[in-house]
Amino acid sequence: MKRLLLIGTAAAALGCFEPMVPNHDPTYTFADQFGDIFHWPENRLPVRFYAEPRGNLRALVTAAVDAWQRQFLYGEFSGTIVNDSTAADVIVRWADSVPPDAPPDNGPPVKACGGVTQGVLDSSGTAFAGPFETQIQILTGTVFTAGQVQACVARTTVHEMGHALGLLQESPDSLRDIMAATPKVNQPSDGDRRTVEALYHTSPTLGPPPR
Amino acid sequence: MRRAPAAVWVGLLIGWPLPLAAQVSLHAALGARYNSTLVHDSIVTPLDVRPAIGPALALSADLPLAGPWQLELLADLGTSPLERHDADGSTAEITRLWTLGLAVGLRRQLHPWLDGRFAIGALSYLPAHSVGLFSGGSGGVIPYGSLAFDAAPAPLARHHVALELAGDLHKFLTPALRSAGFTDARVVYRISAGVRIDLTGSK
Repeated sequence: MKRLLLIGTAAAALGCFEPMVPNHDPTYTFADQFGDIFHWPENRLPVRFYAEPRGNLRALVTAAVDAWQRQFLYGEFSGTIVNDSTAADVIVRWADSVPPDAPPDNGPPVKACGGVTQGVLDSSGTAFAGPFETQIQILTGTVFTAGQVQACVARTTVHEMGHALGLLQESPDSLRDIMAATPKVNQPSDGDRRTVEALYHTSPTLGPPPR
Repeated sequence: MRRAPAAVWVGLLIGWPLPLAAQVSLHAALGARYNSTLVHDSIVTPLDVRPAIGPALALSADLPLAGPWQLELLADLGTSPLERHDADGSTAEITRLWTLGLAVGLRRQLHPWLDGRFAIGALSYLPAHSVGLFSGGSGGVIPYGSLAFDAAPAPLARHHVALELAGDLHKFLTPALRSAGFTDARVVYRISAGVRIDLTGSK
């Protein structure tokens, strides 16, 4: 009996050890230029993403949503792809032409495409009026290879989905962060992760669009 | 045709001679399990992640050894929602979590109505979805140690039932937590209370 109790006491003593908590401080601001903060609330998860069926946009959006979902340790965000744009919270389309399918180029990143994500506030100014609209555009001024265009649209889609999650400003770290104005990386960085984590643990000032 | 008792099947399966197999007693324990915090973190405000109280089922086979001791082979299955507890008191479910433990231990009678058992084994976390802290896997097989006491007052003993209080201890760290900057595993304890039933009716 004593031996068993001794084992139990030793085990309880081990349980007092508290591991160090890592640094989760954001590395750039997630509020917009007016100081407003938005993220998808718990009761709106999973966020519904629609990608138009032309080209490989659906695969790009799926990969981008997965990439952001992996940044969260504690279930703060989840997304799903839907087939009906009228039942979506975020709608992603090509701005005009669809890039040819090709394996993404692994060479130095080039700005072969662009993207924009817009959310319109309702008349109260405290919530979004409708779904976020994202457009991915292929730049035509310079000739790029199909692989360079595919690499660009992949990282631009991740960047734009970051805006759709609520990262409303660009990161000043143009080398490392996917949320840089012209992203040069393919995935969210440690700085992106810390910033989006902090965003989802901060009270928003803007509400989501109605369903 | 008479059906062979379960103990005989266990004996045949693991190749023991029948006289020994006949002495094997099989038990099932069903209870409610409390889990301590798996992760304590602070993102803007402090938060804890721990499984909610959930059911736990254990199956065990006891084999007689010399003296008062019995060798116990144990399989333990538990499940509950994994929850995030925020500083404002709100709770959010992350995923459903299952745990499977296999252990070997020693059991003995401490009083005529009280048994004690300690065991060591391997534990695996099996999340329903590979999300969040489990997005990079569950960290593989984790060693654990457990301790249990079974009390069987006469009215319960007559029905081959005992009240069981069990606890175990292991370390927890997943690849995703490591990637996020956690360097040390956290010591996690689990406590379960329930009933243990002798399936062979030997005690």
